[in-house]
Order: sequence, then structure tokens, then C-alpha cells
Amino acid sequence: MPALVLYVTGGSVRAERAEQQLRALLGGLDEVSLDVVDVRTDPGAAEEAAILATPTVVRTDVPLRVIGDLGDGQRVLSALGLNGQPVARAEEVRSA
Amino acid sequence: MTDVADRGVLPGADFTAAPREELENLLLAVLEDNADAILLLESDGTVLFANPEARRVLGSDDLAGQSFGFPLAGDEPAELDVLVAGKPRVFEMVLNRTRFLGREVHVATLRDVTARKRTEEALRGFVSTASHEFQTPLAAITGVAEVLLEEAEEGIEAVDMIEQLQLIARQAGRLRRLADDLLTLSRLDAGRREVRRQVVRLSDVLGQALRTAGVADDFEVDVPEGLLVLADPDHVQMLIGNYLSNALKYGETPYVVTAATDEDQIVVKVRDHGDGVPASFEPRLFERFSRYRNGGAAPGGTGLGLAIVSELAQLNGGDAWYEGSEGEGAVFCFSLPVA
Repeated sequence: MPALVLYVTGGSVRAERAEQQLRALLGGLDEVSLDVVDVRTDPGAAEEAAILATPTVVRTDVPLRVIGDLGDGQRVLSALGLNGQPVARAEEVRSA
Repeated sequence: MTDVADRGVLPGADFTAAPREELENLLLAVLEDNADAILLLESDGTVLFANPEARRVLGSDDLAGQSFGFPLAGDEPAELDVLVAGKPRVFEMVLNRTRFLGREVHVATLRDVTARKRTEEALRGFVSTASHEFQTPLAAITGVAEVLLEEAEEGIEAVDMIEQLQLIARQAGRLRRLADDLLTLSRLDAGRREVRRQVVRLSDVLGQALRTAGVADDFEVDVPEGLLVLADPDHVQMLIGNYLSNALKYGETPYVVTAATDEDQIVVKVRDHGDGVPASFEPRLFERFSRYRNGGAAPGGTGLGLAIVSELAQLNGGDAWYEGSEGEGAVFCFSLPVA
């Protein structure tokens, strides 16, 4: 089951916007879990995931992550391998 | 020629004819010395190259090979939060796609826009605050004027209306101060920064300000008569006036004004014995529209006074700063050149 973690810098308008956009986007998808991590209150988790800036969405079951404007839902899903394409393809591209 | 000039190329410099090595050195210097953080990313968001500013901002000397993330931006730059040395900063990310070593790569340029964002947010807040600031006295004036009108129609004598008329005058005064502050700042912004430097005796300006405000007895003054500054007399008056009203508004007695020479500047300090300014608010004290609210509504200030003080002091070759400590009273200072 695909699992996502959204890393944000708590309290910023960008954090709020990113979470709203991502939740709205995932509302239409079954079986995608989402955790939200505030890099200010949980710096350990951010360091472990090597988060350089936020908002960053990390897919934990496969090595895919996106950063920046989450407003274009189709591009977000596509970059995270959640647009119906087999995830293996993204991995193949990476290792190619 | 026009074509070359349009592209921002120096007349006479034929870039196509420059030796490849020269061009490479130039482009590398532009990249290395750039004030923006620049990242070259693989198609999956892995960092291929990071310029020194990117390494500084992202807090790592070893970014190559790390995953930045597949970068997403629309027509407008994307906004990112970055903790730079533990402090939150806002960056705008602009993306370009290009080809490098036969594959598609992203060039992500990150520009620090923290100051602009802070101003925008403060401005948004101020527009709403200013509307309230105008509304409150206007509502009071309108209300009292209507009552007065009714009373006048009923034949009540003017002598009984003094309290209400005083209230109108007070509220109108608040409106005037707000309009004055806004006008002063807009003039400073518009570059109307003429400074009529003259020799000004500090004790004279201070004495006059205290008498005008009717608070001469409330302040303990230690300003030697011989202290002369070289500054615009109107500006000196505004500097002192702002600090005095600030002390009266936010501080507690005893209020003390001192002035002394420090090398080529004269430093004026206005001290009160109230709670002082919370340490967390100190960095924003002289910013425009910033106003400390201790739970409830702030007392009648416009949030512009200290910003005006800071700009006027600097305009006259001096500075403005804060020296108090939380819980031990506030000390507001400004300096001006010795005459």
C-alpha cells in the first residue's frame, strides 16, 4: 500500500496550503496513507529522511519524492507514481 | 548592434568569438558567485550540482547525490520553507529544464524572499488593522455627534456638552495622528528625503515637546544645555515626540530622558520603568506595522512610530535602537551627529 509523508515547516502558509492540497488530492484515491511531519517540532525525522526544504512529499514504499507547489494534482500524482502507472516503471527509470 | 544591446551584451564584446575556456570561466564564476541558490537536478530530483549559496542555504557541503525531490512549480515560482541555520526562511523556486550529458535535467533557482514575504504579510495585516483604527474613532465621533445634535435640538445648553466635545476632539486627534504617520512614511518612501540640517539645541526641542504634551512634570530630564546636534529640526522634534509618547503610552513612571556625547554622535535615551519589551518582540520593534499586543488590544498606537524614528534617525546620519531588558523597563535610544 502506498504510504506518503508530507514534510512541512509548521506555522507557515505554505505548510497549511500543501496539506490541504494533498489531502484533497488523496481524497479521491483509495488506500494511500498520509502522515504529516513538522520539521520544526520533529527535526530528527526530517534529518533521517534527509529533507532539504519543504513542502516535500516522500513516498516511503518506493524511493520517490516531490518538492514545491502541490497545486497541479496530476503532476503530483504522476511524479509520485500514483497516477495508475505501475510503480516499478519509476524504479526502472531511476536505476536505468 | 541594437540586437546585441537588447540582449544586454556589452557593445563590442562578441561572445561567440570568445575562447571556450574564457566562456567556461565566466559561466562558472556567474554560477559560483551567484546570490541565488542554484541546483542542477536529475529528472528524479537527485542533486547533480549545487553552487556555494545552495550548499550554505541547505546546510550541506555534500549535496551531490542527495535527493532534493522532483521539483514542482506552476507558472508562478513555487514557495519553499527552508530552515537556514535553524531559522525559517522563505524561498521562491524557479525551474528550467535543459539537457546535460544527454539527459533531461532541471535547474532549480532558489531566491530568498523572506523580507518581501514578511512585508507583504505585515501589510495585509496592517490594511485590516488600519481599517479598524480608522473605524473606531470615526464610530465614536459619529455616535457622539448624533447625541449632541439631539441634545441641541432639545435645547440643552452647550456647557453640558463639553465632555462629549472633548471625546470628539480626542478621537479626531487619533485619526490625525494615524494620517500623519502614514503621510510621513509615504513621503519617506517616495524619496522625498530632503534634510534641512541645522544646529539644533536638544534641550530646547525636548523642553518644547514636554510643554506641548503637558507632561513636563512627569519626566526627569538630564540633557545638558550645551548639547547641539546637526540635523533637521522637524525631524529631531519627531524623534523626541515619538519616544515621549511611546513612553507615556506603553511605559510606567518614572520616565527619564538623558543625552550624552559619544564620539561624533549625541545619544539620547528615553527610559521608563514599565514591563519593557518582550525579548521575542525586540527584533521587530522598529519594523513597520509591528505592534506588540499583550493579550488585549494595543493602546492607540499606529504601529508606525518606531519605524518613522528609525528612518528619520538614519536619514540624519544617526541611528535608533533599543536597550531595555524584559521586566526591567524600556530604554529607547537614538543618535544624531554632533554639531
